[in-house]
Amino acid sequence: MDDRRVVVTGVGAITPLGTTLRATLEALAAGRSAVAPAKLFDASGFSCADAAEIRDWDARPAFNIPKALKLTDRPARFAVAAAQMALADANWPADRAARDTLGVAIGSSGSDLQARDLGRALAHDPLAESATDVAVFADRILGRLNPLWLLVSLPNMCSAHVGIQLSARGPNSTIMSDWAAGLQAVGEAAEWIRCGEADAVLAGGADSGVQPFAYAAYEQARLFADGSSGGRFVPSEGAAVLLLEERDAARRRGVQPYAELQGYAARGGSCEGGDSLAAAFRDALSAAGWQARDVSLCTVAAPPITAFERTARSAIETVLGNVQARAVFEPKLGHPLAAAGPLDVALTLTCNRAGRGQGAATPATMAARVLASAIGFSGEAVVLALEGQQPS
Amino acid sequence: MTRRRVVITGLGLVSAAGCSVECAWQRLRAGESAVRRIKRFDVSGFPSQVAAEIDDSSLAVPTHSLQLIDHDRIARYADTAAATALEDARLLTADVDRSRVGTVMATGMGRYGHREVFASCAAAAVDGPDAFDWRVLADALRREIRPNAAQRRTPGSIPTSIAMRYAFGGPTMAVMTACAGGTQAIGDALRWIRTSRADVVIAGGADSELYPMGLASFCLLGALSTRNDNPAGASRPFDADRDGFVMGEGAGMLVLEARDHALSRGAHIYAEVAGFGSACDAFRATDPHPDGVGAQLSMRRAIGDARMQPDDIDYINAHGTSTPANDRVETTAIKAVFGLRARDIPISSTKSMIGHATVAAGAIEAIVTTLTLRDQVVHPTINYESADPNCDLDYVPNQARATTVDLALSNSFAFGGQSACLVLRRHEQ
Amino acid sequence: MSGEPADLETRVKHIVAGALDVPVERVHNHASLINDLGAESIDFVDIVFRLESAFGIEISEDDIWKGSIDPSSEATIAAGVERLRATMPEFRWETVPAKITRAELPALITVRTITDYMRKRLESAAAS
Repeated sequence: MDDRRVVVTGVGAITPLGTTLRATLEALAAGRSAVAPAKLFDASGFSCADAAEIRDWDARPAFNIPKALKLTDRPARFAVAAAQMALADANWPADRAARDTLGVAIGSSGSDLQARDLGRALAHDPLAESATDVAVFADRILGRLNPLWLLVSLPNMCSAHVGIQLSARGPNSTIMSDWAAGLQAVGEAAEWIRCGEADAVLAGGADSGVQPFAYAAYEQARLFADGSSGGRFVPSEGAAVLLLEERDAARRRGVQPYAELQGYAARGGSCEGGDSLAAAFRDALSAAGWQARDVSLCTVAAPPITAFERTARSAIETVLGNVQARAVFEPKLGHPLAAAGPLDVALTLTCNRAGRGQGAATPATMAARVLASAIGFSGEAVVLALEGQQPS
Repeated sequence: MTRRRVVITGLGLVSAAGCSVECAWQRLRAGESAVRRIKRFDVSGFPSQVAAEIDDSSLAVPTHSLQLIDHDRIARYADTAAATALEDARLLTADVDRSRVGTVMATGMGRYGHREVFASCAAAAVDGPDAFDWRVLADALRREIRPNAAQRRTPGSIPTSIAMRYAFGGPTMAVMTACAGGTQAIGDALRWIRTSRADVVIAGGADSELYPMGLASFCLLGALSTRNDNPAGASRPFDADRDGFVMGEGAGMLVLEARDHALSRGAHIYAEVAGFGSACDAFRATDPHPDGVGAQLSMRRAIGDARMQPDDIDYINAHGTSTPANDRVETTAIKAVFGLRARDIPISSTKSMIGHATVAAGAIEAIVTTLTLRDQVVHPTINYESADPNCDLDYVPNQARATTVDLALSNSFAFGGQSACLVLRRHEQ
Repeated sequence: MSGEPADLETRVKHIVAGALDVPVERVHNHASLINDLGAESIDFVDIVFRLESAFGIEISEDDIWKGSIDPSSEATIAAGVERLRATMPEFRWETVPAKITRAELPALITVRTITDYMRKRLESAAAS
């Protein structure tokens, strides 16, 4: 187990600022923001009417079996597209055999109940009898709802669709630890490789907060009211997927890794406030064998909400002192929930390779040792320790 | 490569067969079906009207009127099973370092109230199916929304809340590989302990899809048995006349622990978790691959992870849902992995008696497999009356059997082709 | 709604093409949904829903997919298959076994299976 090391050899992402990582970085560098009044649904009835959405994008080219599109929700399409891009970025071989052990680990926070489809079935019910009389409910839903509804809503289908479209038959899991799920999927996937259960895994997050039940939930939790210094919480959508490989296998393939994943830590919300993040920072440092002073950059994919930003800053200060840090996920992209953590990593790694900083507000850095983290609504904290790899 | 050995020291079960582990196990050994006509709500309008339904009064769960039908049931099942397992393991009284205790669970999609969702959607669609008014939806949701929606929408909140309640400081995680989820959670716990990420992990699954929308969504897929005139006979895995699965519900929680840690504190050990394997068919969204390619890979990986051979398996707790497709494909896959010896391995389906508890099933079945190893008895697959030429293995029909079981395999397969398998080993006391 | 055979056939073909994501030109009357057009079990559920929505009638899954073959015994299946061979020579009979069992019947479901069923239902609806 100590012999097997894990590297990142490919990255792929689709965001509201670009359908590729490169496009996203260019848009960020040009100062563009994806935040605008929501169009996927009219959110003007909520205290946040905005969203950051992926527009004018056709998922079809990413699907080898386009028939499956009717069974996908937006996150599943984003996941497949990002995974395809990660494989291409890593120059992954096209042959079948290479895919038999290719694993998939995708994180997502929740699923869309498809309100409009439900409404279609329950239309013309002014007394909302379907909400009080099961017989009426059954008649409407069984008679009028698209029978594919459940398959579209099932959150595990993200990972399944990636497996199906990419012919990946390795270990396959869906992680749902709220907003930390995507980054946790990356950490767990690294463990699969370290333990010899796979040699390569597509790992990341795919999510969408741009749907009414999420807006209602976040409004109830007053997340829209509590903007931080850097901006405000605007739900977003997208996916970021990394290809993780066993280091020697990657070497034999002749690919230049972006980074080595040297530590993974996850802590529950068992401590008040930022303690779980601070504890996870310490665990990750210990796992990687780093000292706090070794860290050149720390990122937290927290939403720009005062309470969460404070948590992030406090943990960073406590454990890492004066390190260069981004305590909040890039506000111009909105917050894509579970996809934020892996997207942060993808942007950092791509910047490193290009030798420039991420967005106009961040100084250019060839960050060698990065602690990338994500926190969940209930205090979950996941931290990855990544060491950038110089081209040999 | 040295890996720490991992054992099971506590069990907690909430199921239609009974809410104490031993009580449920007795019923399973006796071949008792827990499937009845659904009582929780009016099922007369549904094509499938039977389920292995948990009696709420057994859990001191207040009877809800339809207005309040919700699945905070899932949280209750999870909490009850976790508390039981932790007490069974005597983990909270022992001198255990809680910062080294992890929590991983598979739970259902999200917990929404019936009214919360449907009164709101109906309000927004009052003017017709193509005149959906999002502003009306927003207003209605604001009126109808019940507390803690931000936690309820994500499965992640359940393991987090359990970890918080008991001040467990180790890693926490929610997994949701649908019907393979419960098994997946145990496999992840196994890895955490092997790699010393934790010394103890409370792992399992909790789910209930037995509410109007849950039942409706499975009915729409045509996945459920419609044998309403014979509830106890509706779940008939591997039988020629099977016609779909029967819904179950509940929770299964196991305390997994590093073997040395368990021995040194004198914990009672039920069995050893020897191996885990997972795969994806990479074939279709619902139809399993006809040769069960993913299932074969999972089974082989789990057995290989246990550093054993297929010949070493003495019992298989099947996924055995009672759907025409699964049971045929699972049989094919078992034959491919075990060859001629497949006919000599007793295979039984717990779902024949307690239906399919969806995300919780794998965890519940891991508990059943654990007890099989402890007591050296395999429970029957009930309702086995007519042989299907495509399912011609030994499914322990109708009668439990005492037999030597040193190594057992438990299978779980999900929509989308995800699969997860566990290998458990008998613990010599 | 029009009950003209040509119109019905076209509508059915477009529905099948949409559900199976294939170009409508490939959706021939004698095309097997499974063997020629790549249908899986969920697609049958989907097609029924689309037909119900388009034609405004309730469809029984058991009835529509039975087609003209009585599945109750080996003999009735054999007789039904013989009749089908005679009336549908353009079907790709080489893609199914010479002796067809009950499990293999779904492979015989074609666009015509659907059209025949819908024609009967619409005619009886018009008559009542």
